Amino acid sequence: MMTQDRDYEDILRRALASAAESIEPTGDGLRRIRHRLDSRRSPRSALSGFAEWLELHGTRFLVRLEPVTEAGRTALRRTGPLSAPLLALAGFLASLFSPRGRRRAGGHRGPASPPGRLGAAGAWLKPVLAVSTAVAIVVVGVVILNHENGTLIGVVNSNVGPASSGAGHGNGGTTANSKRWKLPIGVKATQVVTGPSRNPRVKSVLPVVACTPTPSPMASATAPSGTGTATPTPSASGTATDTPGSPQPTDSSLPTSTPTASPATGGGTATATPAAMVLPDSARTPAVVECGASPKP
Amino acid sequence: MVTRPIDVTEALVADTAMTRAAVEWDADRAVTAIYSEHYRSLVRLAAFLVRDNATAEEVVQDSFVAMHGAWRRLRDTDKALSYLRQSVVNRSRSVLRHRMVVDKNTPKPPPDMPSAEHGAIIQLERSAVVSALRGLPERQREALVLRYYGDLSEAQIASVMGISRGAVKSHTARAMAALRAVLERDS
Repeated sequence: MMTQDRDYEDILRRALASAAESIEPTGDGLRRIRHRLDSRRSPRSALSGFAEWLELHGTRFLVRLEPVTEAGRTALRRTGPLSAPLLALAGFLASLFSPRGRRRAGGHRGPASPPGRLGAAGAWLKPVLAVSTAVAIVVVGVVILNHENGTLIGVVNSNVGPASSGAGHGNGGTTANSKRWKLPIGVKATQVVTGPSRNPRVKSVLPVVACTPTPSPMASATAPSGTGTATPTPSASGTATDTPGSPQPTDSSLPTSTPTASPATGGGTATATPAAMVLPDSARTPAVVECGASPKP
Repeated sequence: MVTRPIDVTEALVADTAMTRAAVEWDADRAVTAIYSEHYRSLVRLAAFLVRDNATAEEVVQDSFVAMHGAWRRLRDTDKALSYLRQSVVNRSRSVLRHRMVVDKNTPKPPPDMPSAEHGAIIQLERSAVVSALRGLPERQREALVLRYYGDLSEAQIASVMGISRGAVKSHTARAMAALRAVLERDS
């Protein structure tokens, strides 16, 4: 039986060898293999090149960052008792998210790996920690940016804002100034006037109000006894240099001249001078409109 | 102060790149060397398994490409040859599996019209032994071809086929018994 088996084995061996000799592969096998290798290499080489670039520049960046992190560590150490928990927390977080730390925390690979340092809570604690850290970084960044923006705006306002209103102290912000610069109804901001700002090179934008008061007919003069007639001649003298439009509010806040009859010194003419143009309280314009600041005696 | 670690890092990165290039170059050389020595035998082995020369060549070329990609962890001609054999066997199985599915879904040609595959098979059916081998189950045929054409040991066959040595023995014994029965019946 054994010899018969060996005979069959020899027969099989010979048969296979003779059959194999009839099989001759084509000669361009190596060329085809190289062609396939090249076609595989072209997309792979781009990826691997990018990976190499990333590796090189990432490592460079980390190495350049090393002095900064070292300085941070040193500063943390200098802070004294606060540094110990901070350093411990940083080390703990680093060990959590580093691969070595993960291996240590998770134990060996496999389905029955024992829970690590974090225990059963580690499964959900890690993502929660990661998300909260990211949120904290974003919040801190936003706060810092806002702070920077506020400082910048304050600096700009201190240079540009109206000096006379006293609002340009840096922290005034835009809202307060914009409220102050609100114009009353019917009053138009017409011209840029170089106001008496703290910085003479900076032009302040002030609404200019020219007043051409129309003396009300109610202006009555009480002439001194018997001698003459009181002629109210209001003289408006404003500080504005240009008067393109005269404010004539139609409501109760109409600028009214309050003629005061002054006893005539000479020919008995009384000059009624409107004291000041009264603007509504709601307007609160920084433009100071002075029309005949003081009545002439 | 800062330049020193950067230099060290760049040197390390450059060293890694050089190693990578060296591995690539080494793999190219290995492909050429193994091709010139074993390509033919591997194609013949694949041809016994898939019963088609062109497909056998495709299978072996694919295996060479895979070996080139895996050269980083092989780095040895013997290991590479073993890898190639295993790859050829696995890919031949895939081809046969695919062919079975295709054969099920395509209409059969008329009996007087031989297919292209049939022409390739005729080459292998020169002897009654090969024709008997063709009728064996896939695993038994693999075991016999690797044992009596490839001259591999049971351990090597077990490694290539991905089965135990006992299973190799079992497959070989059953295949021999079936072959003998066929040959005795024919004779």
